[in-house]
Amino acid sequence: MVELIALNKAEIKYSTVQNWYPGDKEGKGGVFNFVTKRGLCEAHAKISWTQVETGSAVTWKYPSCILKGDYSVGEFFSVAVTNNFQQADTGTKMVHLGKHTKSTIISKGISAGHSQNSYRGLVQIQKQAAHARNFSQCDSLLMGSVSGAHTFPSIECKNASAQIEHEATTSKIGEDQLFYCQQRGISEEKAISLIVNGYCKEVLNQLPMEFAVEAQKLLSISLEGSVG
Amino acid sequence: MSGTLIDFCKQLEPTALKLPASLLQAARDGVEFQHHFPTTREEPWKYTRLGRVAALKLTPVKINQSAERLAASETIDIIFEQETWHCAEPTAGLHINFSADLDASAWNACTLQGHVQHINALSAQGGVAIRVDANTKLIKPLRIIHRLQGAHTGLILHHQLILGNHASAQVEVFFEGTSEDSYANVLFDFFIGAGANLHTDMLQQTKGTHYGFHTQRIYQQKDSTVALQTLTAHTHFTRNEVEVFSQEEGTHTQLYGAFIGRENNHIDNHTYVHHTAPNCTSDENYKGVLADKATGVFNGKVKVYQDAQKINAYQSNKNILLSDLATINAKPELEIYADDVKCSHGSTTGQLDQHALFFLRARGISETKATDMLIKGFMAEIVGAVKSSHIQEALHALLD
Amino acid sequence: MLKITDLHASINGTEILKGLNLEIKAGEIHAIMGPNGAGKSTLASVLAGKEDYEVTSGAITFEDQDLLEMSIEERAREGVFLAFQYPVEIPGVSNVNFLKTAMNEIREHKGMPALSAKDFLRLVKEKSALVDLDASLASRAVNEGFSGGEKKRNEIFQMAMLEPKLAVLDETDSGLDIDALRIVAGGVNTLKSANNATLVITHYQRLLDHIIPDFVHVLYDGKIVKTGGKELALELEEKGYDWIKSVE
Ligand SMILES: Nc1ncnc2c1ncn2[C@@H]1O[C@H](COP(=O)(O)OP(=O)(O)OP(=O)(O)O)[C@@H](O)[C@H]1O
Ligand SMILES: [Mg+2]
Repeated sequence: MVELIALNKAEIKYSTVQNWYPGDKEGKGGVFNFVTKRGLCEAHAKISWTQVETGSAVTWKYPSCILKGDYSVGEFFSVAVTNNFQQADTGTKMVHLGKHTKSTIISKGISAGHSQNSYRGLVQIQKQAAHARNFSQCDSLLMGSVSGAHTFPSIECKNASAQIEHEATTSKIGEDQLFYCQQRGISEEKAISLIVNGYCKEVLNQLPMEFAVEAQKLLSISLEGSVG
Repeated sequence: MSGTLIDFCKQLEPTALKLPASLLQAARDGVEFQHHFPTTREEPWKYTRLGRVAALKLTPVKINQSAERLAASETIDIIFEQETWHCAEPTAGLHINFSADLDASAWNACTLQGHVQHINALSAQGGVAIRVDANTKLIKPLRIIHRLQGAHTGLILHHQLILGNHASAQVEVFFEGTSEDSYANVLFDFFIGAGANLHTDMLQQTKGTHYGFHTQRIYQQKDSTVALQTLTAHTHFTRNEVEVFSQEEGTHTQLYGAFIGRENNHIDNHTYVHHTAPNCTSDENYKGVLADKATGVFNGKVKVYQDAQKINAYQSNKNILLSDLATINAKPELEIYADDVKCSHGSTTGQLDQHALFFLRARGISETKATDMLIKGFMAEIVGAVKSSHIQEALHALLD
Repeated sequence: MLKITDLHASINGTEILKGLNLEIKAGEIHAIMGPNGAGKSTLASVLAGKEDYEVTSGAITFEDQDLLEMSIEERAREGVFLAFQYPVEIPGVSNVNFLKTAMNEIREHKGMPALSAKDFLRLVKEKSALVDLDASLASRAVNEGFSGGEKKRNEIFQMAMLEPKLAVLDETDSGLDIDALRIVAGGVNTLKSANNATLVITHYQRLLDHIIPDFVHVLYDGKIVKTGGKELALELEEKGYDWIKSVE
């Protein structure tokens, strides 16, 4: 359990890279990872959650932000990769209480093998949260015909001056992109890792340098053997 | 919470339809098991409270079996007005019957989901059963009008439309009139044959403290096309449930909707598209405009089943709040178990474009007029998808 | 270098290539012209190994090896380069990272050590100058948001970096302004040597003013129906394809 409180004008950036044992190829064993993470923002404060989830057999994790103070900012950047029989159910809650509060959600899910990968989120704009803004982008990439990708966002808005935008896409990894890479001599496995890393760029960019390098490697490793 | 579901059904008459015994039993079990009306703790009713519905004191509307004939007009009309129903002479290849005799074989495919459908199965007093023969292309639109009136009425209807292979039809459905403290539960099953084409526009604009529950279930066979426009304006309480079962390859489904709420209106749209077959497309576009203390709900779900490859599903929901007391709850959902798909959804909520508003006013247009123009513009996509000239006119009038 | 004999290929059950023959020797430049839908891009895709196309009969040898037996990346590593008619965008993957990966995989295949970061950057500078590609494009994501002309120049830039034996240019000239056309053609000419060969697919004679072909072929309805010298291109420009269709 993690609790963050950002007082006036404070800024917290909390980054996680999670690669606990996911179980074997048949889905035996592996860690169950149930986490509570929440944050409270006072005026002009900012909390930014960044997570890269590649491990654990089952992950339930919804880092949230209560944007209490005026002009406070909440961010959630997430990459969740699941392979074999892993299950990841992650997302965030952004509760807008203060005026001019702003939240951004970028979530990238990649499911391979027999895995299930879900985004579950809530954006709530309370009555008093005038001029609140939210932008959410939730993308899913599918890499196995028996894997699943699910998107369950909830948007509750009680203020007319709010501006909320949510977008989600689900698609297969681009065959044209794969072909293009392979035509330039790159192996399929490398090409996938390249494309997936590119797909997650916006999130990986949020990580501190040494973390980002680690995370890129992890992505490639967790997707190993997911094709062909 | 007051009144159980069983108490609620007791005020109504037992069904006048010849339902398969298994379905009836399922409905009885369902009501018994659920016991009370669902609360907001249950996901499908998270944003819609049923306390007022449970407390309604109702007198059922029984429907006379035989229809009064209507004179021929530009549309083939079917009208439900209290206990009478009126029906125009069918044209070639078209059969219109009272739904007590409707085709039960088609029902074998159906299951019942949720208390709305359970109540309908237990208490439906009639409805219309329409069959269009294979290869028949109806020239005149079918127009089904529900004229609500009086107080404390409970109107439970079950309609059915069977489109034969390669048949085509255009349908207009109206809910209108004024009715107080009343309840309607109208279920419409559409069975769309291979290569058939259905276009349906539905307008709900009943006035008064009326509680309307509308269920559309659409079963699509190979290469069929369905377009359904659901338009709700200024109703006190409406819950729409549209469920599409794309059962075979090559289907295309278009679901468009508009909800326009004011005062204390509560308008709830639930859609659920099941893609069980490969190579199909669905395109969903719902828009809401909410003023005063109105509440809008949009919950759209697309489920792509395993092996249903090459699905292209698109869903868009855009809302405008015109007042600080208005509320919107949106829940666009994607549930995908196949890998070769292209699905996306987008949802936006905001106010009218302030720049555009300013621009119009700077050109001398009054604020109210400018607002109306922008709302009209916002809704143009949906209004444009409506084929029924009656409904188009009604919408233009509503948006003015 | 390349020998295609009686090649039949189809997509989704429709036969597109219907008995195509073509031989290209080292040091040569060949041009293929032909009406829309004749199968030119299909040929390019089959050479590169695109899996959507099924080769139903015929043979392709490349440097005495059976090309059809090789995977997409093996062909590329052996020196087959396709400049795409419609280059693909790959969001989030920088051009530089993409090329470095490709170069090092090819070098590894050839038993060569990976390039140092310094050498690589020097090469990028040198080769991007060749096609007058803005250096900032190299750090942007592959083709993302590139203009049509920039995409085409990026293809030639990649070709310059990878130094293939056989380059297949699929309508690299379309969408280019006159200056860009000259630059691209200049790039192709500079890279030309006695050891490599180029196959240019084009609709316009004007490219062939800059890249002088040794042979011009007309591809029509899945076959090469006419072969000639560079004059053939002029003749086609003037008369269109109808006279060839009627000869057939
Ligand atoms: N996936 C596909 N399914 C069916 N037919 C296809 C498919 N892809 C291409 N074709 C057809 O194959 C034929 C050859 O296409 P190709 O792209 O090779 O033509 P082209 O000679 O390159 O034309 P252009 O000059 O327009 O580039 C066309 O008739 C095209 O419609
Ligand atoms: Mg082409």
